[in-house]
Amino acid sequence: MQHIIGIFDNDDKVVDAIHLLKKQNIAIADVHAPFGSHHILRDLGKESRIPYGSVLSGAFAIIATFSFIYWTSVINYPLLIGGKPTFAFPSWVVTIYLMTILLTFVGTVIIFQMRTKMMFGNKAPIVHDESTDDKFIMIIEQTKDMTDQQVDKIKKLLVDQGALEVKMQDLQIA
Amino acid sequence: MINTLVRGTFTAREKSFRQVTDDIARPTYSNAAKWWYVAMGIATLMLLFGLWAIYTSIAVGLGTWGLNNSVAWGWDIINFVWWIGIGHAGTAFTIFLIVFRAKWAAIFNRTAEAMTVLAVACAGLFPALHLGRIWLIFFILPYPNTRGPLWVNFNSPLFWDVLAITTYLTLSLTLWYFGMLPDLATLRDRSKSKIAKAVYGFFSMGWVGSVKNWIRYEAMIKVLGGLAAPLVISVHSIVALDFAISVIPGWHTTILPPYFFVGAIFSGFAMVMTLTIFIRKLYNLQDYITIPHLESIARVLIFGSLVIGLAYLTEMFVAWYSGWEFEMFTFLKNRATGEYRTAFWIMVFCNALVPQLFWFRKIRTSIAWMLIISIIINIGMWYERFIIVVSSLSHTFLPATWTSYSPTIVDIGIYVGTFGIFFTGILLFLKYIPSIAINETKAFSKKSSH
Repeated sequence: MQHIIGIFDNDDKVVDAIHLLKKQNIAIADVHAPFGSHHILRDLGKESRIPYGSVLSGAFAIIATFSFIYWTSVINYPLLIGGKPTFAFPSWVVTIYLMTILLTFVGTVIIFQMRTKMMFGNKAPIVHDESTDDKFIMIIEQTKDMTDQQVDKIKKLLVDQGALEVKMQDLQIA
Repeated sequence: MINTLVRGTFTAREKSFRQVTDDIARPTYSNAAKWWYVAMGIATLMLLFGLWAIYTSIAVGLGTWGLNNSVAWGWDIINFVWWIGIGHAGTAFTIFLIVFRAKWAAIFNRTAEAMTVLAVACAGLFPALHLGRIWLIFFILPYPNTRGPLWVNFNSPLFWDVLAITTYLTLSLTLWYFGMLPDLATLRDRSKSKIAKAVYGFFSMGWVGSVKNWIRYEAMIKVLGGLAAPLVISVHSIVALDFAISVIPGWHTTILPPYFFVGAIFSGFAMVMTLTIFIRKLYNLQDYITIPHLESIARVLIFGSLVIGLAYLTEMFVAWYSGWEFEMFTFLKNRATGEYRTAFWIMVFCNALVPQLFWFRKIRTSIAWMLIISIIINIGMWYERFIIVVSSLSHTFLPATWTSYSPTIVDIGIYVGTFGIFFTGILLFLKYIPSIAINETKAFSKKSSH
């Protein structure tokens, strides 16, 4: 798929270009940035649902840990320690609390990796090798109904907004 | 937001994004300096001494340690608590940055987290070796077994401690690693060497810095930072419960958890100050780790010192106010005026008095003073743990059990060995990973027009 690539050296220029393109109903496929510029993310991104997954992981952790301690301490091997009750909930709170943090933590990381499909050794689909250093890469898909005049208009708009370079590139964006 | 009278500017001079990458990532692609090899040599020697001591402890047994029937916890637990305390700084900086949005903390975050991971690993070594038969360490895990099945005691602070430390190590290691994902990608794309490209490429997990990458990454980091916040408070509190839940005079006090927590932050921040003072000089990072940044740590240290001093006074007061002769003996006689008075007053001097010098602007903006005071604090914090552990155990209820304690060469060897692990790790970290978060420095140092 052909894409229009605009290379910028400043995220403020990218934000201005995003605003202008949005006004003209031109969809932006992606922006690659060397840091998480909140202005770009605010204008282009949707809120992540990862925190909901974290809440579910936490709920699972609380139930699983409580059930496990209850089963081991009350049902499976009720050990008498100084005549104290086997169902000693107050002193279980610490273990449940720690396990909730641990499992929520692990759950959140797993969900992140599942959503981003990031794994050790993955090849990075780099568009421009300076996009992790000091360049901001704006990617606009050339849709089938886009005429050559429209493509030229977008290219000109990007140049007017301060793009250092504008080019066409064949990309597969997930 | 950064450019305030209190905090100063984020970087001393205005930097382009490229300059930021160049300055911070330079050690990763240039040859190591002579001092690095010398330091590595010393750290390796310390590590070898430690390996010998660990081998002796396992092969011969814990009789090689200075422990006796009364002082059954000695240097092992002192050093364990000391290292865990130091290990608190990394996550504390993460919380300052992510939860409190204190952007000055971004400069220290990466180094502090690396320090945390190494310090917690060093700390974990002591209780593991103290088991005596380390090959049976899996007994502490709750697993179905052939002993009944006899499960672990979920009511015991010792089990809580195992869980707290394991959780803390997992959390700090993961947070540190995921925190540097964008920077690993930067190194991958800048590396000229094929091996470096492959290694950084493997660990950067295919990061490209797309909008989706960043949004999900920031959502995850916020959750992880939020989860780390209560854990920082609870880890050292749970370590304190190892002591506070017992009935030993000097340990059986409710003040111990908060007192341990503040002590941990105090010693951790002091260690970050010591390390970053060296890093800024050796790697020429004065424009990034600025005097106002270090001054911010000094301000936290004043606060920590005041709370620690108050805790010392409160302990003394409560011992006197309780009217319980054993507590009064432990605090007012044994510690303050008895056999352990030298160690006690070193502790008070180093932790409660010396850091007060930071009230003077001239002192808290002087690199030499900051370095000296931060080292003094960590010496003082070691003495604090010595006082807590040894003074209480050596003089308990029965005078017939009273004894003295001194470490053996094996005890000393393990402690020196943990320094070997720590410094070897820190030196490797400085060589192969940017010591300051490159992406955050770029984000915070730029002056946005939006």
